[in-house]
Amino acid sequence: MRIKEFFLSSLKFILPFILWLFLFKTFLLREATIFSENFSQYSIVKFYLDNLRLGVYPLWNPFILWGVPDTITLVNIGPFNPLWLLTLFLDTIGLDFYGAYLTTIIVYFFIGQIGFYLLAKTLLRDKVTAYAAFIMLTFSSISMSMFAQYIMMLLWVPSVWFFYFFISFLQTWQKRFFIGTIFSLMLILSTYLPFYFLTVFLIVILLFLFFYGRDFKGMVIGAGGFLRKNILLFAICLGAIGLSLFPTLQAYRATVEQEIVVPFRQIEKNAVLHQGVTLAKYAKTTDGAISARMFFDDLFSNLDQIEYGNDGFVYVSLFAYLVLGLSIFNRLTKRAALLFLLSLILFLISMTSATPVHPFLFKHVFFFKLFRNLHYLMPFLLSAFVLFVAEQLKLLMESKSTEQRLRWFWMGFALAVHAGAWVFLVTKENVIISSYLTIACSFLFFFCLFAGWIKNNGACIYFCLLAVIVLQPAQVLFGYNSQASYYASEIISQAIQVPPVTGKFSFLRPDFNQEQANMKLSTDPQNYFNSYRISMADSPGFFMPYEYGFPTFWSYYFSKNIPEEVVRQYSRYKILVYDEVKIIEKGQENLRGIADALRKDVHTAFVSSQPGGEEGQELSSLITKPDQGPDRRVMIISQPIPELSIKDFNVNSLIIETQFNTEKFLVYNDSFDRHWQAWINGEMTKIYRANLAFKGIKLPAGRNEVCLRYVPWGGIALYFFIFFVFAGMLIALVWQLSRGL
Amino acid sequence: MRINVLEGFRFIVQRCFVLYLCAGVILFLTIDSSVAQLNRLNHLKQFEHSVKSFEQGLTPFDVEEFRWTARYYKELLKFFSPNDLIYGNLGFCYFYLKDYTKAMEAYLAAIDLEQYFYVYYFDVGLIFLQSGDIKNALAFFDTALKLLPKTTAYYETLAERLPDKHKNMMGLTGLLKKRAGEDEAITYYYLGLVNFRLGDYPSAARHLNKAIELNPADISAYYHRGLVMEKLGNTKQHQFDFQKVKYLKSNGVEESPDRTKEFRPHLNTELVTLRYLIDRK
Repeated sequence: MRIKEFFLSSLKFILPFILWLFLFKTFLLREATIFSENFSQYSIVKFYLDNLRLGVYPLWNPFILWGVPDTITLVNIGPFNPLWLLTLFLDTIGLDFYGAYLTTIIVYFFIGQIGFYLLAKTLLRDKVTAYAAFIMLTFSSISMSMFAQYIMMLLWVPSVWFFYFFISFLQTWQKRFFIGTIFSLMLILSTYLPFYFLTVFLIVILLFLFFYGRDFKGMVIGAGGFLRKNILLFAICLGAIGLSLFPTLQAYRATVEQEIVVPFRQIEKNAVLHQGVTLAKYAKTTDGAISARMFFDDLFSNLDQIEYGNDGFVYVSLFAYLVLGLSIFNRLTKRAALLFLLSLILFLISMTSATPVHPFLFKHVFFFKLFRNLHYLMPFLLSAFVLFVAEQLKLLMESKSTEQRLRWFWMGFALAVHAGAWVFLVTKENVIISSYLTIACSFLFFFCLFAGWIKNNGACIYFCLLAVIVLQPAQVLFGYNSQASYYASEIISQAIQVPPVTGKFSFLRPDFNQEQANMKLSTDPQNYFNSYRISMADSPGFFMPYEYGFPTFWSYYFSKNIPEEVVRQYSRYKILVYDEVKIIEKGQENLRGIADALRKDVHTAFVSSQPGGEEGQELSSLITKPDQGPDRRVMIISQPIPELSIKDFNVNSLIIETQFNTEKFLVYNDSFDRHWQAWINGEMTKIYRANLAFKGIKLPAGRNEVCLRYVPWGGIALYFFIFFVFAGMLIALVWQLSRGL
Repeated sequence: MRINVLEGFRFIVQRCFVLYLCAGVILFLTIDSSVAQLNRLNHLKQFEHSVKSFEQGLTPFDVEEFRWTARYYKELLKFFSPNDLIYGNLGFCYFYLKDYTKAMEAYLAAIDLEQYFYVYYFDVGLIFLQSGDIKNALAFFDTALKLLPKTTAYYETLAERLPDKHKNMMGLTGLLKKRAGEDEAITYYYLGLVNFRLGDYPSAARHLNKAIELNPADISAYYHRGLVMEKLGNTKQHQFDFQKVKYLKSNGVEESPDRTKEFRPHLNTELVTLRYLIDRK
């Protein structure tokens, strides 16, 4: 008996997942590839895991934009999420990397959907309607956007689990739910921007206080009791949260202190160097989010023509709207009101400039200036909406009456609502056939339900719900995936075939010519940029028509203030050896003079200094002497030579061996960043900002081993430690959960 | 009685439709539908420059970009009064998406709205040519040629009507006139080619003569006129044309391998800009 139950309860989840995989087979069979945005995440994952495989936690990426701190980029994927170890594992056991990545993101999506089912079950306290909610969400636009944009999923999955654990914790005060809440929170805080979650969480809290204010006191007492009993666990969890916030805060600090700049966030190009990460003007905040991605009519019309890559499209099975139609006479519960208002507020915020809500929040709530992709709220909006619909469905199912007169009323009402929906659809353009079929099946379902022919429990209702909910999405997703197969990017197709790489040092950077590249302007530049991350090969730098990424302040400054032909010529070479230096004090930079010197390859390097800085004294032996003629040229190293060779290289460090007869000044054309450290023959030495944007080191005469290493606060050890803390929390959670089974 | 009314009121207030009504009012009061529509249109418009760039031969064809842009023009038509330029541009997108029926519908709708603009006839002629309907293609090309002077005059009028602050945009009218000139030469070339294939050698010669007169560096026109002259028995002219082809090639003039690929329909974005600037005056 138990085996049969287990089989049936497993089947009700396995079936929709199999159906989902079938509908998305174009991706699994590689007839369609991931879209640009997801490709960007893929490139970050690959770069990260390729380095982890080498035992290196990548803190710096020397291959793009002349070298950039990588920690801020890694935040995009939530690097401490143990999820990525699955990719590594699958790749190690023989799946190609792209296949391993696809499998991982699909598994994570399913994990999120299971979390949503549990959340719905906890909230609604009803298995059947929780299942309906699960099906509606699994076959909604959340899954559509997955191959186009994965950040949303990385934000949404832990958030769903957070709410599940949090609510369960408030209901039971059990340790396992507390650990689950903390672990989910850690994932949220270490992935992309936590402001989307924060917005949802704050709205939920406010609505909760409004509707359930009386219960709040009891919760505070319950929480107090739990903390007193588990003070050590609380302290550990608090520490873990602090650690998980560390990389995000570091990234934020780097932008505030302008170690890096964020070009794509600002309207005027010259503002990039002054405005930092905060969005100063509303216009740039958003492109319209959901209001830009669909018209109202798109909820019902043209569903066979949804553009692949439209990551903010809101779609849920027509069945949900039919339930809404039937629910107008339902009793209004507090839970329904809370969920409805949550959906409504999220919808209004997601409409950005089309309603006054988001402009108001942008002006008055500080953190709204720090995030701009409001369509990332779409999964949260859909989740709240689907939960509301499920609550209404539950009330409808409970409203079944034994009284014959009332039965007739409900059956007649079902007929009226479905007929109304049919008429409504007839007035719309290009309505897909499955919409009408859904209306017919939904009518049959409710007719039988109200007539008492379907029982509220038993396998039949699950099957009926699955069929009636999935009917329309099956056609929509089929059409969407067919559209996806038309999307072809040669750059992506080639890049996803790149096997794991180790990354090698090269003395030369490639050049790039936009006109010769024959690129599609819409997506190719972005894909081209990301492909260098995948292959761990030097990219040309700043010459691509692509403003994404987080360049260091000085590299960006250099690229924008020195003529392009000089930048092109100069930045091709990574290592230059000078005989002399010239100190330039802050505020006295003669950019034209520097550009001219770089153009002519003169033998003098320019070292930047604060007014009254010590650089002049430290480099006095190398400072330009007027009696030496201007004809001497800088030594440009384009390959290993007896005087200079590379001994060791990884993304975070470089070891150079040199042997010059006289004292020299070595310029490594990799972006200057104050967290880099250098040692010559084991003794720490200073790194100067040379030629405006790069690293410069004073080299003594004779044989030297120069070690350069990127050491941000805490260094690699801290990042690995955080990684293990996450893994430890997951193990603790699984252990606790298994004890509760 | 009073209790019944109160109970009835309470019953009504506690129903979900009250919530839906409130939400409807909130949405009605807060959503600025014109801003929402503009947001959507701007989003769909993002690939228009890529499509333009393709038209100019700078970037490769991308089906997704064309789909998005076709959707953009379709939605534009819903929100603005019928406009021949939007129909024309929609036709352009459908042409490359190889949906010739819809392309034809769009161009014919454009012609309905603006009967004196040569471009639409020209593009319809091209669709007929693609589908092998030579007779209709010739008819539409003929009409296009007849309308060309009117359109060129219209471009000049546009230049004069441009507001002073936008006089710097006059270059666009120059661009359009230049394109009209090129179109005229290409159309004569095509008429010559089609007549040659139909075996009407005198007509073919007449049209190719005109094509060469308008574009003296057109290698393909010389080549085909040479063939026509051979058929007509004019050996002297036949030899002259073939020598001219050799001469032009030796001087670095390149022959297009397939002229049908070069012969693109029109994406009238410049004209949209000009008309917008003038209407806004």
